Amino acid sequence: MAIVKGKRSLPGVRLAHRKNTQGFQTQAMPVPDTVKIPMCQHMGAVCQPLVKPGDTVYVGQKIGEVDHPRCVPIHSSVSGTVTALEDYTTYSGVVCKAVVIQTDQQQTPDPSVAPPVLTDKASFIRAVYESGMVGLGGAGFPTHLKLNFQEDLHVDALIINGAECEPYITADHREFLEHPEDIVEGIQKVLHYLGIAKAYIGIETNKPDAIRLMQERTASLPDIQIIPLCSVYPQGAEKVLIYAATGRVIEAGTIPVQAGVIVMNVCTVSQLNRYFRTGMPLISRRVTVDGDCIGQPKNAEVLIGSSIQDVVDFCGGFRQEPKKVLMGGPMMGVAVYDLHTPIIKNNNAILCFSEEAARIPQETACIRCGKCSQVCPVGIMPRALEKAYDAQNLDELERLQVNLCLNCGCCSYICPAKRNLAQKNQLAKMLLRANTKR
Amino acid sequence: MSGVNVPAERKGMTVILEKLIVSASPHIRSSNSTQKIMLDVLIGLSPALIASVILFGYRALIVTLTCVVSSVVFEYLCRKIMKRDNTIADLSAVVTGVLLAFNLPVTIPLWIACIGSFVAIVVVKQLFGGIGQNFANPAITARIVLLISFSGHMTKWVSPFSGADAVTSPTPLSTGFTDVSLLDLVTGVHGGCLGETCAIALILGGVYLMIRRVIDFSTPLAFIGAAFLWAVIFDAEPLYQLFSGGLLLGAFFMATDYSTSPITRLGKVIFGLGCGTVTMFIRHFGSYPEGVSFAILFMNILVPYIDRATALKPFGGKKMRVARDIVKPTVTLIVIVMCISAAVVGTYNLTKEESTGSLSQEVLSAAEEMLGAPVSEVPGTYGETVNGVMTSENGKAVSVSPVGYSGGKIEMLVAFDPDYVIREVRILDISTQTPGIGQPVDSPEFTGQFVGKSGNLTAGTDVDIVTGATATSKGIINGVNAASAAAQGILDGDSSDSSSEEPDTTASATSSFVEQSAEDVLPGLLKDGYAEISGQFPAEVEAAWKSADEMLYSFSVRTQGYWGDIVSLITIHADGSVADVTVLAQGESSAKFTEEPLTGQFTGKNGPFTVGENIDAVAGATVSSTGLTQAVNLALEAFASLAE
Repeated sequence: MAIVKGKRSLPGVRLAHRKNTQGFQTQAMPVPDTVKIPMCQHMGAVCQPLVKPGDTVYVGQKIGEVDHPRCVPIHSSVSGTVTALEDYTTYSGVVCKAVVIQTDQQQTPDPSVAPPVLTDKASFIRAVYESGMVGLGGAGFPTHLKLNFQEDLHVDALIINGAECEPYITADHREFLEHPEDIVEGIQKVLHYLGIAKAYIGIETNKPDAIRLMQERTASLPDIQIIPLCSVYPQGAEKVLIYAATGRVIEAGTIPVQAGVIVMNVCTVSQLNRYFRTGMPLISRRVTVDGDCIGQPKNAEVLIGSSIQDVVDFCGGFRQEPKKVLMGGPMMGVAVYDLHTPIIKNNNAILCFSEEAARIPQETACIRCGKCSQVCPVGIMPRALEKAYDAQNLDELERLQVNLCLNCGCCSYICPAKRNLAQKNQLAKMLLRANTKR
Repeated sequence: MSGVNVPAERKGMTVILEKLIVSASPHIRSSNSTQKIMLDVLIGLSPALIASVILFGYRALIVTLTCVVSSVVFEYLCRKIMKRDNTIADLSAVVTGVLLAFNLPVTIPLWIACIGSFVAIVVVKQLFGGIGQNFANPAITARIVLLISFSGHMTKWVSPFSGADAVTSPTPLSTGFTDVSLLDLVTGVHGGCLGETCAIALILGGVYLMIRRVIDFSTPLAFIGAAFLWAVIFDAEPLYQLFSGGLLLGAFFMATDYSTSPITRLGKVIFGLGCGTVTMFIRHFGSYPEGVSFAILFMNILVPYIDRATALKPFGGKKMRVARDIVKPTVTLIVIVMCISAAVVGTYNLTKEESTGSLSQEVLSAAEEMLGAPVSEVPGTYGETVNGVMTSENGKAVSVSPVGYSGGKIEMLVAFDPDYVIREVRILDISTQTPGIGQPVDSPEFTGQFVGKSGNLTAGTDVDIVTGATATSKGIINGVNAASAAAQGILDGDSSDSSSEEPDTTASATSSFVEQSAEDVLPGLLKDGYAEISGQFPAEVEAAWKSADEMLYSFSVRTQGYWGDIVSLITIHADGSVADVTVLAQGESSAKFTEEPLTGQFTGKNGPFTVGENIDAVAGATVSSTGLTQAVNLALEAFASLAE
């Protein structure tokens, strides 16, 4: 099996990897006392709770669903009793309900849990839906929607995203090392049932053991290719990854499937296979816990709905008082304000930073060095965008093609004047959206 | 929000809650900063700074410190007055101060350096919005302003290692590289501004900045490459062009200034090429030896167009530039460059002195005035420098046009006493020399030095040159020396002696002439006897004889020479062709015209003869030759009348 070196690389930044937890075997977190499971954990429709306070629930039982094309069902990760249906606002501002369950520590599986019967594409998609799977790389896109592409679209490439370009996070890395069979089998099932010709597994070169292992496991499989990626952030971004692996350019306003490509995170395809094997839907996932405030940084298998506090307690508690807590990586993660926030399906990391580590220097005047344009993977000009946004110049924002922005944060990172360029890009996009809707 | 109401504090785009900071991603930043970049630039400039102190003494450090301190102070005050935040901590004012100092000669008065800082920091930078907002390079613009306002001070360069007894010396660009070796040029051992002489130090600093990724290699490489190419095309010593005149300083440290250069790499390349091209055009076609400053400023103006024309196509996006974005900037670029070049070349050509032919009335009048007596022009051929010699009863005056600075000619008149002592040096036209620098040499203090001197004069020993105008001064001295030589008749092999009325045998030609009478010569010519004849001859024909066999006829003809009469015996065959031409008596200064090269030309021909057409005059003896030719024609006339 030939190895294709990812020579085609879009611009980006070289970050300190800080993969402190990559050598640690994943540890399963004990069942917390209570879990809070929000009814919106993905980029889809808000689910309605199927249970009410007082109901007994079991592990893997469907507790949230809605009749909507973009719905992904939500399952209970614990066995216990529903105590409340709280109002909840996600960190992206979506208002929904959250099912609060008092656990009985038994983890009794729901009787409906059984491996699905796969016969054809339709049954395959149905099974994926029932698994409650969303993109585990962080975006949380409903997996069954991604895989259920239209018949007339010819998809010939499945790309498995094992880049994990953000610093600290090692969840995907551990998945390669701990469950290579699930990964390979999962890929093969997807290729088979969807009629896709070839799969490419992209892994950054900072994970040589994962590359080696996967190469061994796929040596005799002609339709799976390992692609080493250069360790430049953001190799894990969809467009960047597709270009590096296949050379295809995803034009503005189109989605990868229109170019014949589907991208799946490695944990997603691996967990999917576990569902196919056991029938247990998505109820837990690996989370990297790190940062200079964590007592024992590690990779933890976390039950969906556990709070950040629970996870931190499992990881040796706080070594020092944290000033910033991130869900996700330092480049694209979200800062949380409440340690009782529950872990949901698409969280892949909890990072807790002290004041020094969290400190961002003050913004100074732009010196027009052009570094932001040089590092932008999609080649837009953040400095010009900032000026256009400050002037509320919609035409200029369109001309500068702000909607291409990946929100990767490279521009803000590299700016010597510490300007909040990525943030302004987001605001600019929102401004454009608000004004074109009219 | 789960009903949690925590006290919050807003700080710009960041909300700080009781415990946790909530801000937008990304949450990490690179360790780079504006201040660090400026520090790197200062490190890159330090080799040149050290070199300037070694070459020009500790005053170099004083000038630099003055520029730096005044820049920082001006920035601080300016921001304060404009009610904006204090930005001196980013060290950009320090960098501007150092760069400005590098563009000044070490002799610059400190108050002028401060004015430069004011222009750079307040006018060019802060009034446009501060760092990142200015379109013109601050240090370059300040240099240009100072050069135009205080041209004398700005061009007062010294030789390195002069120390306290600073000897003024021009930069190699103005003297045409004649007195600087390549090694000296590279190590900076020549006159020039503080930071622009030591090529090695500048290259070291530039390479450091490229390694540190502070500057991109494209602009310096394009700049230097274009300049080199044009120097080769113009055949103007490419290596010397590269290492002189602040080109390296400009290429590495000025043209790479962030806010005044393009963003994309292609844009930077175009910018560098433009700078190199305009620099060489100004150096080659114009009278300023310095083109770098103007080139960079012109290209600064074009940066917005360059950016527009080189905008990249985003990945997966639409093209950012349309035909309009490329055509318009290109056309603008070409038009601007052409206009500038035309203006520079036109000005040069208009002020170029045409070489004069014969002396004009203006020159004659001036010479008359200087000598206090009527003058008459002394014909003769002279070298390139001497236009003409005039003589009078009080001495001689010579009009000369020596070459001064950068190929420009200076029109002047030198008046001598009869014993070749200089009476007066008058400059008629010095407009080809640099205004404010070379032109002020035309002053009584300078020209008065020549009065009373004689012989060949040496710059520095006999005559002091004007500070900062070495080329002009030397040109005038050369002119005076050429005038002396021409006045004394020692010039280009021309031996026509116009210094005295009497025939001076010591200064006359090498050949000797013996006066004789017709009776002495006739027996030799008309061998078998002769007899005198008479007829209706022209007045000049004084006597005539014919041979016994009537085959030869001789005529004695008196014609006018330069200094007096020429009496010649012209012998003609019976068929009308000339048999012999012999000069009997003459009082010319050169007897060459009596000899074979001239006299032989008539033999065997029938005439009539005209000097310049069928007779070549003797060089330097045109009048004499003409006189003799006239005699031959008259003799032919007389012979013809016999036949009637």
